[in-house]
This record gives sequence, structure tokens and C-alpha cells, in this order.
Amino acid sequence: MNLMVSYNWLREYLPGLKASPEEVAQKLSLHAFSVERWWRTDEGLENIVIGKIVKIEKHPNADKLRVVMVEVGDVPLFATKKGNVPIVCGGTNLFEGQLVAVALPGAKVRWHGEGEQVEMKITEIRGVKSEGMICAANEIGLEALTLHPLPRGEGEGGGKREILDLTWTKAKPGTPLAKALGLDDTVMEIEITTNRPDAMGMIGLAREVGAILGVKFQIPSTKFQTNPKSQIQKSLEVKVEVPKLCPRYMAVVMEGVKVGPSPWWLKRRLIASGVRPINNIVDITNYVLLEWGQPCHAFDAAKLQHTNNTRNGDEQTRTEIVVRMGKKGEKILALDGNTYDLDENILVIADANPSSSAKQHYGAGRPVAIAGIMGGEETGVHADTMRIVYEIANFDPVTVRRGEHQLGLSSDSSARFNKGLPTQLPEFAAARLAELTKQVAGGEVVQVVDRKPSLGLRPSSPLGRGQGEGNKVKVSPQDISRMIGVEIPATQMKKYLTGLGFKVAGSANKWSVTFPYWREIEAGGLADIAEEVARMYGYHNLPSVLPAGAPPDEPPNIQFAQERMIKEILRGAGLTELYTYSFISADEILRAGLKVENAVALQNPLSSEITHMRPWLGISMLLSIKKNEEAGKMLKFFELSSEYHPRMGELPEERQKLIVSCAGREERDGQHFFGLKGIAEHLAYVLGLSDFSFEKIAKSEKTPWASRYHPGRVLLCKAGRDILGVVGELHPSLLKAYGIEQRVAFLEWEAKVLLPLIGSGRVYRAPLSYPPVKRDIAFVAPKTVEYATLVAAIQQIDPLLHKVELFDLYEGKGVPEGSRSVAFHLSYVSPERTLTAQEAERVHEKLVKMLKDKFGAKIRN
Amino acid sequence: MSLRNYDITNNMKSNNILQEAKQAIEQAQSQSVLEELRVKYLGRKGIVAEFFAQLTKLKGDERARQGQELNALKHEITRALEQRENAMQTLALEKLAEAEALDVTLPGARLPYGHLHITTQAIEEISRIFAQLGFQRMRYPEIDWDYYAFESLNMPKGHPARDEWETFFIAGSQQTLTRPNGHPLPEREGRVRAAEHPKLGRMVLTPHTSNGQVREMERRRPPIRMINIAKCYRRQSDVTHAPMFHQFEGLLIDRNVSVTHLKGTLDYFARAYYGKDRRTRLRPFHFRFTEPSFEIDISCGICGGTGEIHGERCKVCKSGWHELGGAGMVHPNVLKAGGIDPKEYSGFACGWGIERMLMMKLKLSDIRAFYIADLNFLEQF
Repeated sequence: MNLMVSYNWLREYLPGLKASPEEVAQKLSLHAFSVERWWRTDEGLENIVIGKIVKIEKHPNADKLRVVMVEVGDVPLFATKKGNVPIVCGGTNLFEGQLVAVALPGAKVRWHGEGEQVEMKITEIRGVKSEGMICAANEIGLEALTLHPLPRGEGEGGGKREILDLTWTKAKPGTPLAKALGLDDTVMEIEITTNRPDAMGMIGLAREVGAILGVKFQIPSTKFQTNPKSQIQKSLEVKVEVPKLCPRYMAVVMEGVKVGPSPWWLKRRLIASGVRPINNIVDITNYVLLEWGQPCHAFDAAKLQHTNNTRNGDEQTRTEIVVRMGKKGEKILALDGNTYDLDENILVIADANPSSSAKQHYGAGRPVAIAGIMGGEETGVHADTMRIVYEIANFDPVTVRRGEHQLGLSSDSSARFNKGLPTQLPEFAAARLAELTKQVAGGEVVQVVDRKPSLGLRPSSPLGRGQGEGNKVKVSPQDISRMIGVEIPATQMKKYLTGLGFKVAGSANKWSVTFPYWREIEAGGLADIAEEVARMYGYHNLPSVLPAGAPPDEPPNIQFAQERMIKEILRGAGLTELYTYSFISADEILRAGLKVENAVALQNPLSSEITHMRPWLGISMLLSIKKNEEAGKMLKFFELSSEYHPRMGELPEERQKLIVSCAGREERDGQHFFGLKGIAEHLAYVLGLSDFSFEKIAKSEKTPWASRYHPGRVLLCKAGRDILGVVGELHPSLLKAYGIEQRVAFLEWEAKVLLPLIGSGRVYRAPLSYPPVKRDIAFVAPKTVEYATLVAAIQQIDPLLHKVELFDLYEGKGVPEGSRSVAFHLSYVSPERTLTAQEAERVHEKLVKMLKDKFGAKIRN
Repeated sequence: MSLRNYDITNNMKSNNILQEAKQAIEQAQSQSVLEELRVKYLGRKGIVAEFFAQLTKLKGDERARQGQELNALKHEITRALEQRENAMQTLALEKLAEAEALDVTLPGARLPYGHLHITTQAIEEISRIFAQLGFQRMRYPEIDWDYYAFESLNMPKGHPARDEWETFFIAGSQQTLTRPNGHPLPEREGRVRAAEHPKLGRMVLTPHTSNGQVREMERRRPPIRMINIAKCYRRQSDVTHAPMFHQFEGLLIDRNVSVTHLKGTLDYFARAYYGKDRRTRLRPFHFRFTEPSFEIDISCGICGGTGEIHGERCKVCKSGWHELGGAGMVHPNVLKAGGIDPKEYSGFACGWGIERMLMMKLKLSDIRAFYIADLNFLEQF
């Protein structure tokens, strides 16, 4: 949670604080919480001072303007005489003796609150010299002063053409405006971690700063000031139906309060903390929340339903507050103006059922607040409220959090309750509420209710510890030092801990450390204590040491090196690697001709484009090709990533796949296909796959690729008997579904099959000891004889034939229709002796005969 | 030139021949002329050979004297030829640049340019650095049980800390499962696909790589030095958040591991990855699965961690430091969940987002650029 913290407010609890806001921010960041940024609140108010109107005269040349003589104190540069300056002003609410905000030359103002900021200069207005400007609130960014009406005399001047009346500040003329308004302050934005709800208030934060900087920390005294003479009424009854979920409920009833705007000092602090002022009572509950970190709520007592009982002839009016679970069908209009449906999972505060008798009150009444999250609009405090009921309670964090989720509603209160607050806090907060109310809104406390149904009987919630466990930890200073890695003297450790409110008892080697109540939710073991010591010592002060000890005795996981090798080979071959989102939409799955129910579905999709985990990596590839199609380039991509396939009763299979693609306008038919076939051969060669081969796919075969690939332009890729995958052009209908107009080819291999085969074909052969005899052969054969068939037949001719290499393929002029000319380099070699030309010739002749007999080849010369 | 003019009996001095030959050789302008001269004087039927043949006409001392003179003549001419040849070669080499000039400014024969994704490159670099310290890279499921993603990491069900990870959950399915070829699966394999395990909870898309922690502890006993770099998923998408991103996670568990070892490891990484002058700083933070927990800052490369340049606030970092990631000492409850006795062993874990790290290094502002397959973006790397 990010907290906005006023430095001046913080200092109220640390009277001895000398450190600058920057120093405080830095120390807090290093020892406790990250201060993300800080800013001065008087920024933009330079050269604006308090002025006192001495004399008001008519402007000689303009009916609507006045010439005002303003006392601005000791401003030697501009003062005409004794600190008085003439200002031409059109304000309608000016009077002599009034204190106003005067922008002197050099100040930045926004004329009539509109447009760009301009710098003040001495000017002449209709022939009269004007040495400054009397400002309206919106001209100097102080709308907050007038947004909500202030008590009489404070901040009047919100109307049109009305200047800001600051008479209430009683400031000396010449006082900088920022100082007069208490805006000479720095606000820090601090990220309070979730484990520290104790620091989500000024007091907890001041305690932390005090401990870090060694400055004494003071809490303002908080005692109930009840008037013993005023008649204490016992008209409110609090019933807690679910004690485990509400370990404490305090209610303070106050009578005779006067609802109105808060004074400036109170507003200023709320504004600095990022809270909008509403009215004095609501503002006070927010102020106490900000100060103590304890959420509070105010009900208008008159609006809570009450029961009227007649007992012994006297009519008794009784107000009831019931803490219970909501009921299906119940609704509440919350303070945010929205209506929420409640049910038995939501903890609510309800009032009494007016028609029920005293015996029937349980479960009756209507919800008046969503416990710990937000109050109801109908029972909230309004201008005419006179009698209020303050609620200062403790609610179960898990219940609050679940409620927030279910309702999609959270607040500054719920954000604290869901972290788990100590049950001791309400009494401090209650006293402070009463004190502030009396001071700001008047009124008297007439009743205090304190229900502690399950105090000391902490529910076994995930935030706290198990039932019955204490808040004491047994540790030794030696263990603490070992965990931190440096020797810190025990006395120093003790100092750190006690500074934070921990109690340390026991002998030199055996400490019993007690957590303060506000840190109880964290009470654990050694690690928690070591953390406190180490952070006070300063993590940044710890030395840097490489871990000792032996690394795990285990051979490295080679799959990563293999993946890297595959990627490097493809990069070297001119391909560009892609990373695409693992998820896609249901539409894309359908477009690929796959079944949506066979894909892993997200329960809470982010958008209609992110609904399923991709069941085929090719979908991502097609989308990437489509996206880049317009660039008009050859698109050569690859991605080595997972596909996700559901399995019954276990986690989905994350199947790694390699897809290499070629797309874009082909210069000749089959270019993409043969480009990728070449890549396949290159991969097989460089990766050393044993017995790599291609195999045609029979048309009848029902493989997953049958529907995706072009039936006449696809090959199975195999290493020995293992099927790696395919290389082929995509089926035209699939491309059409994706709106891709050019041909696209994929190489699609399973990583699971490929990786274990890497290096399998790398067999060492001794270098040739005897020179080979080289021959070429060129012949014309019918085109119906496939290349692979020819090569296979040639290779089988004789063991002396060592290498067969295609070097020319030609069809056209000079070659009969339906035939093509094929030429090979051949090399004959014997492992045992140098071949004679005659021996090689014999084999060659055998070959020629075979080609003629078997394929009807005509040998060319 | 007739040989008769050189009749040895005419008492002709070989000197004259020598001079004549030398002059001719000196004036030769090409290799072919030189070759002609060599044949003329030293060839099998050349002048010198002719003189040798005539030696038979002479007798006694005269024959010996003339013989010597002829040998000297042969030697001199040979030398003159060699010298001239050398001189011509030197001359030719001097003119080589002009004679055989290529327009060397024409472009080279271009090999195709391929590109590895920047994420691959970063993963490789991090793996290599941590491998030096004995950390092994592992891979764990991206779709995992709640138990590994939360519960075993000290985040019991209902804990608010779970809210911080905008987690995607996997939906169960009521439909009939089919094989890839469209045939339904046999009846006995069931028809309802549950996304929940009776003990391990719901299936989630891992919002972090820490699900590898307890899985690694279950796989092997300490010492553990493991890194896990994998895809993570969170339900958010804006300039600094992508729904899919990569996280790095390092885990070390051994006897007597302290905070100083975490610091040493991080500083080693900072020096290796960012440069030898860089260092890290730990600040307090809170994670459920570590205690104590830290945020890791890395010193700014511009101002060197001072936050100031020539007395002015550093514009790049504003404070001397950049936030890199999170770390902490493995929480005793996490060790226990992995079956490791926290009294005997301790450890640390650290991690950060790969893209964030790269964005900081490359000054990129939109994380989504990584995964939209834009050729212009990809071709830079």
C-alpha cells in the first residue's frame, strides 16, 4: 500500500527530529520502506505572500476595477512606501483590513484559473500602476481551499470574481502564503509492505522513523474525556453474532455534534494524504485512520432503526448494532453510491428491526455497513446529523478480503483490515475520535460500548499463528549473527530490537524476544528477529561474500545447450527468431481447424484475444506471418516454444516444438518448400542426426498434419525410425482461413524427439587412406523416375562407390519432352588399396548398364 | 648477327660480347625480350655455347685461358639477366595497385542475416554468468498446481498476498476429450477434465518462477544451486506489463548460507552483466516466501551510484540506483514444504523480470514490443 506522508505531521510525534525530509526518505528506504518519491507542497507558491488591504479606492478609468493599497510587509524591492503596494483588482469581496494572497512580481499565476501559467510583472492597468495581484484560489492552484465550504471566515471567496479571503489565518502581512497555510511541507509517497499494517498510519511510521534515526517517539495522550455530569445513556446495544470474525467491536455514541466543514489544518492533512475532505465527522474518522491505522466509521444514530419497548410503563428507545453474516437477497446502498448484493459470505453490520420485540432481534434489521469495507449511504453522516455512533472494530482479514473480491469493492479501511490489525488498537482510536470530535464538531460522549467476544482467542487464520501459540520467540544472538553473516554485538542487537518495541529477556545465549502487540501478526521465529536486526544494521552495510561450499554434484542439463545450438544454426542460416504469446483466442483455434475443447482454457481470460493456451505453435507463426506480410519481404522466422495439450487428471503437457517458416512472394515455384527442406538437411547435418531421411506421406494417412499441409508438397522427416515431424507447404485452405495470399512453408519438428538424437549420427571414420577415382555421369531419364529412386539405385551398385553428388539437373531444349537430364559426380574408393582406373571403370560400366536397363536412361557424353 | 663475327680464332675479346649483352639486357623492357636474350646468349645454340664449341680449335694454355674467360662471360651474363629480372619484378610490384585494381568499395558477398530474439540472448547471458558459480538451469511447468505456485511458498489459501499476483486460472472442461485426429477418447479415460487436484489445488498459469523452488527441493537434496528462467503470466497489459513475460529465479540452499552470500552472488552478477564498476544494494521488502526479504537495486551506470554528476542530480536514476528485482532468505516454511530441515540448512532466492532488465539496459519503454513479432523490432538484435 502506498501511503502519502506529510513530513510536518510526522514530526509531531518526533519532536527531536532534525533530519531533513530527504534524509528521512533515504533512511526509510534503506531500513524499512521504499520511499518512491517526495515533493514540496509549496511548489508554485513562490513570491506569493499574505497582504493586508489598507485602502480601497475607485479606479479612475474603469467602473469594475478598484485600486487597492496592500500592505505586504518588508518587500524592499517593490514597496512604494513602508511595505505598501498599489494593486488594481476587480474582486467583489474586498474590504479594508482583509488578509489576501498577493502574487508579487516573479510569482507564477494562472489568470482566472485558465490557460498557461504566467509570470507576474509590474504593469499599468488602464493608466494605473499595479505592482502585484490579489489572487483567487484557482489562480494559484488552491482550489482545495474553496472546494468544500470552510467554517465561517475560512477560505471564503470561492465565488466568481471573488478573491481568496485569508483573514482567518491572522498571519502577519508579508508572511509567505505557503507558510501561513502550513504548506511549507514535504510529502513522501511510501510503499508500506503488506506485512506491516502497523506502519500504515502516522504513529506506526513515526515509531519506525524514531527507531531508525534514534529520535524519541511520542504518542499524544489519548484518554476519554467524558463529562461525568452528563447523563450517560445506555441506549445502544451491540451484538456480535460471529465472534470469530469480529474479535472486538467498540462503539462510541456522541450527542450534540455539529456537522460542517473541517478546519483548514485538518483538511490540509487529509489533502496531503490524498484523502478528499467531506465533512468534519467523516474527516475525523479519516484522520484517525491515517493517524492510527485503525479504520473507523460514523453512523447517524437517528437513522439507525431502533426498537420501542414499553417496560413498566416507560417507553424505551433502543438502538441496536448487530454484527452478522449477510443474507441472500439483502442489498446495501454503499457510500460510493453503488448498490451491492449481499449474501452469507459477507460480514455485515445491521441495525434493529423496528417491528420486532427485544427477543427477536437476532438476525433482524437491515445491513447498514459492509463490515470493514464500506458504510451504507442511508445511515451515513449528513449536514443535519446531531447524534453519531462511531464504530471502531476489528474484523477477520480473510473475511474482509473475500468480501472485497466478491463485491469488487475495496477501500482504505478494507486495505488495512485485510492485512490483519491488532485488537488493541480500537481503544486508542476511540479516545482520539472522541477528543477530535469535541474539538472540531463539539458534542459529548454519552455511551461507550466495548465488545471483546474473542479477544485472546485468535482465529487460526493464515495471517496469524496457530491457536495457542504465543508471541515470544526463543533465539540466540549467535544464531542471528550466523543468519546475517556478520558479527553484531549482542548489546547492539538488543538496542535495535527494543527501539522497535520488542522486549528482550533471558541470558546471554538464550533470549526470549517478545513481539510488541502491533507486530504480532508477524511473530514467527529466528528469521523474523534476524530480519529486524539486519535491517536496522542496514543491508547496505553488509559485506559481499561469494557462497562457499561445493556446487551440486550433477551433470549439466544439456537440453538448454542443445536448444541454443539449434537457435544458433538457424540464426546463421538467416532466420529470425520469434517469441509470441503462449495464449490465443478460441477463434484462432477454430480457424486452424482445431477443436476448442481440446485446448487448455483460461478460467479468467484477460480479453477475448487471450482465452486459451495455444494447442499448436503454428497458429502463432501464421499470425506473425500475417502481421508482417505487408512489409513485402521474404519472411523467414522460427520459434522454439511450447504447445499446451490437456491431459486427464494431471497438468497439461507443455510440448516444445520447433517451427521454421518461409513466407513471402516466391521467385520460383517450390522455393519456400525447398528452402526449408535445405534447412532440414542443414539441421540434420550440423546437429549430427543419425540416418536422417525424408519420407512421403501416403494420402490415406490420418496424421495431425494431413489437414494442415499441402498433400502434394509435404515430407515426413525421420532420423532412423524416429519421426521428427514434417517439412511442407501449408494447405491452401488453412492459409485462406488466415487471409494469407502467398504460399507458406513450415518445418515442424518435435523437440522431445529431436533433442535426444542430437549427435547420434556423429560416428568417427578414419580418413581415407587411398585416393579416390573420380568420374562424372550424365544421362537423360524420364521425369517420372524420382530423384530419390535414382540415387538409391546408384548407391546400391557397388561397395566401391563412395560418394554420389548431384551437380546438374536440366529439362527443356535438347531433352525430349517428359524427360530430364541428370548429372552426378561419382567417386570410387577402396578402403584396402589404391584403385586402378580399370577397377573403377568396371563398376562404372555396371552402373551405366543398370541405368539403361532399369530406367531407360540415355547416357550423354 | 652472324656467329662468324665472333670467331674465336679472330682473337675477338669476349669483353665486347659481354658489353653488348649487358647493354641489351639493360634495355630489355619485358620478360619476353629478356627471355629472347637469354636464349641468344646462353641457349643451347647461343653465342656462349658456340664459343665453347670453338674451344676445340685452340690448344694448350690458350685453350685453358679462353675457357676460363668464357666461363666468366657466361657467369656475367647470367648475373645480368637475373638482376634485370629482379629489377623488372620490383617495378611490376610497384605498379601492382594500379595494374590489378579492384573497386574494393563494392559490397561484400552478403551472407543472410539471422537474428536471435533479445530474450534468448539475455537468458543465455544470465545462464552463463550463474553457471560460473555452479548454478544449474532447470525447467519447471508453466502451468502448475496452486500448491507449487502459492501454498508451498508460505501463501496459504485465502492469504491476501496471493492478490498481488494477477493470476490466470485454468478452466475445467465438461466436454468430451478427443484425440488430435478427431476420434473421441475411450470412455474409461473419462469425460470431465478437472482443473483441480484433490491435494495440490487448482491449476494456474504460474505468475512467477518461484514454483520451481519446492519442485527443486523435491527433486534433489542440498546443496542446491538452481536457476529457472521461464515464461510467466499475469492478468495485466499496459506499457510496463505484458500478460506474458520472462522471469529469472535463482535458488541456493546449503549449510550456513547467510545474507552476505546473497549479496556476493548479486554483486558478481552485476559486475559480469552490467560492468565491473557496478554493484548492488539490498533494501528491506516483504515477500511471503522469504524472510528477510529484499529489493535489489543496481548502481546507476551513469553516475556510479552517487546520484550526482558534477554537483547536479543524475537525470537517469535520480537517486544513484535502479530497482532490479527481489530477493530474500528462503522462508523456513518453504524449506519445510520442500522437506528440508531449516535448522540444518538455509538458503537464498532472488529473481527479476528479464524484459524489465532489458528495458533498463536498452532504454525501451514499451514491454509489449517484445512479443508482437514486429520484424523492424526483431531485426535490430
